[in-house]
Amino acid sequence: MNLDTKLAALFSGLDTRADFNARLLERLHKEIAEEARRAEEALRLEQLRHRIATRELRSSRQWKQAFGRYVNLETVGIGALAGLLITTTWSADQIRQVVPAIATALGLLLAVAPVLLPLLRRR
Amino acid sequence: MEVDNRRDQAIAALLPQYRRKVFGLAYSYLRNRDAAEDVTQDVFIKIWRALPSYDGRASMSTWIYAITRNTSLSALRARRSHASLSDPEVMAEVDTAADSTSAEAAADAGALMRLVNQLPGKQRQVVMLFYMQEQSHEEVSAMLAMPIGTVKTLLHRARQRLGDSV
Repeated sequence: MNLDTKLAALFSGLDTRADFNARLLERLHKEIAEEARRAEEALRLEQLRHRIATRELRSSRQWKQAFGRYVNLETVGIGALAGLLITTTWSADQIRQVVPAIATALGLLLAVAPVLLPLLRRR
Repeated sequence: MEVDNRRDQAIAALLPQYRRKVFGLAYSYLRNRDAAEDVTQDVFIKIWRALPSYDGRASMSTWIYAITRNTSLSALRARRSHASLSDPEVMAEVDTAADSTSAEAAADAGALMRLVNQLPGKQRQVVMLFYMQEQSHEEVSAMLAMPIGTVKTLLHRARQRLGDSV
């Protein structure tokens, strides 16, 4: 027997085991199930993200609408007149005492506006 | 689901055509039947996963062999510390197969297997694949991504070395 024949006899029969295809099929089915689970999870997360984004968008739109409705030329005019009145009638010391309280009150008003305005609107 | 069906059909068509080739290529790297079978399974799972993104730029066989080579090298790196010079299971198989012939032939086959295992890496791979794959230089060249001339040279050197030893 020459070298070629011996080598061919040694390697030509080398193959996978008989149950190879069945085992591969089993693994593929597991992969399919896992892929479906991952897709479902991704869909659920995407829906959650969409809900949060929609809610945030709606809330910011509401805040902008309320701001636009209440901060207009008339309210700015009234504010300017009130400021003018205060600066002309009150002394500098009196103003210094009151300004922090007014600023705090305005800040609080702006902060609670998104919560309060929808409630007021419902009434 | 339709995509899954198409992928399943594609795998069913590829399996008989490439199973033995992928296994042979993996075996030529790993020299262990269990490890080569595991890699073959991993390769087909990878193919199944990547089929939707296969764009046909490279031929199917080039793509499959590239996946096999990469997966085999990763597996080889992972088990490098345990790597043995020869697969004891295949050695046992060689002995069992030879039992039906003669003790002399068994000794011959075992000794030849040991000699092949002692060849330098690329020569050993070329010899294994050449005699596994119906002695086609082209197929071995595609599997190992090396020019046909190199395959022929490596095979010639390996034969010379084996011839001297046998």
